[in-house]
Amino acid sequence: MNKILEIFLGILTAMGGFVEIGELTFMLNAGSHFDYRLLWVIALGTVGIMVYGEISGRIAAVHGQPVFNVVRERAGLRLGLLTLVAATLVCVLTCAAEIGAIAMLWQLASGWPYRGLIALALLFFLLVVWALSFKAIERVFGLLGLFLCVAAVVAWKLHPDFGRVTAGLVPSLPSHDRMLYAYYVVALLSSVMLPYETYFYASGAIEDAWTPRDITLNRVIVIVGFTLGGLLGAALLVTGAEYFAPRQIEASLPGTVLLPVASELGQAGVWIMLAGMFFAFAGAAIETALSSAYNLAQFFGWPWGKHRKPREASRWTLAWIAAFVLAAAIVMTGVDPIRVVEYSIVFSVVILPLTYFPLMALSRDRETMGAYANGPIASTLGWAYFVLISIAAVAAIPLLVLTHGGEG
Amino acid sequence: MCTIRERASRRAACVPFAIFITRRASTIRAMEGRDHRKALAQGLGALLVLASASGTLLHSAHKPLDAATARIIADTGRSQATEAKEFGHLRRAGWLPDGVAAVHLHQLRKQVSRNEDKRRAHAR
Repeated sequence: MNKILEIFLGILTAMGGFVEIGELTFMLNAGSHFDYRLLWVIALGTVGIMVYGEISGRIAAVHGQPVFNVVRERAGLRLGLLTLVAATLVCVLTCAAEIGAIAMLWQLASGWPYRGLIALALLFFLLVVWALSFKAIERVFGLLGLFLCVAAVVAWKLHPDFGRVTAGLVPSLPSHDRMLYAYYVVALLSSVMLPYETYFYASGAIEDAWTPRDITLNRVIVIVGFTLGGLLGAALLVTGAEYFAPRQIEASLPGTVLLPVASELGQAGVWIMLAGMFFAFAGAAIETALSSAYNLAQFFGWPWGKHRKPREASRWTLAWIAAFVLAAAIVMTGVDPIRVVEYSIVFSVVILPLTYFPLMALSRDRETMGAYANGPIASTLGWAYFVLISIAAVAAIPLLVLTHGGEG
Repeated sequence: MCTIRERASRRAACVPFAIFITRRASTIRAMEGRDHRKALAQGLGALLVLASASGTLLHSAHKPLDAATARIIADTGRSQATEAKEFGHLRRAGWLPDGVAAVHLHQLRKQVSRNEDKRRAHAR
């Protein structure tokens, strides 16, 4: 019974923690610009994050090694250090965007000044991460992030054309803005497969003391949880296509998403959506700040983890505090959080191959993984996605420049 | 000139302030009685009340909604203008809370002026 409850909660947590500010805006704008034509990218990305999530969780359960231990061991010091610097930068930028978005949401609810709310959010995160256990953090923010399911209700109430939805699952080029379309393909793929999700997931498996007996738990959570998360992403794209496209509105603020919610569900829907966005963004802010600290500690071999007292993992504790402070300082300068997250998502795709190559190398190694090494499905999918993300990584920066940061 | 609605909302904000003052007093009394759990609960309650009171006041301090919408529409002909119109429409229909709509329009206006500044700098 306990196992079933754990699987159920794990699935809901994975689903609730799937959406963050970058994914929210990219999904809405993808629907607004290209109707349903980009739905296939969500499906593709969701399978990709399942594949790498499963591999990283399996390595953590069998070998007891998180992602950056593997990166250091398999990629060597130089390439590993490059991956570490890039991954930490992307995590801190994403954390900054989430903190900025939360301050904007709190401003919507309270009317307080934006910069004061950033300081308040920083204090909130420092207190929450200091005081709560890993399990509590994961469950509270993952489960309460499920308030975002209101977005799926809105998408349903907008009566999407299911013929067009099905057609959207097959790749097709639009007749206009092809460069922008390519930019959205790369950005959506990256927003679904954000690397911090794997860092956090594998470190969490070690925090939860997974063993090879948890392999099934790992598989069910990534397959069912991420599928439901992907459906939530698809609901946002449908909302973009059905509500924003006819009105030619581009989501450029977290509050923009409230328009279709208010129009379909009224004030109650607005408050539920605000709560859902808060918990989803807060969960992502915590995951990115902790991931920065996990990566540093795992790479340099420091003691780490919420299961240790702060005194026993002092450098790791200082690292996550520093990540939060740095992220808050970035948005305190007045930079637009949506702009920050757009850049961090595009740069994320560049580090995906650097992160996933060492994982693929270790997970196929029968000497280390024994009977739990990659089977034919994991191997084929893993390498196929590796080729795909390598192409996306090469194309990401030129597309960012050519489309003027996605403005067309 | 503030509208009747704004005056009423400012008066309504005074109620939580009054509650805050009485709660603060009972918190101090609880502290003196060394009942720390009660003092903590009272203190948190007082802070929540203070937060909601300040929120109400700050919300009502924003410029009248329709003027804000008109300015965004005048400033730009792009997606923000349509967004502002939609927000105004939903707010008038009572589907969006007044305060939320006001602050969103304020954020939108700031974004529009930031974009305009950037465009002017580029043109130069």
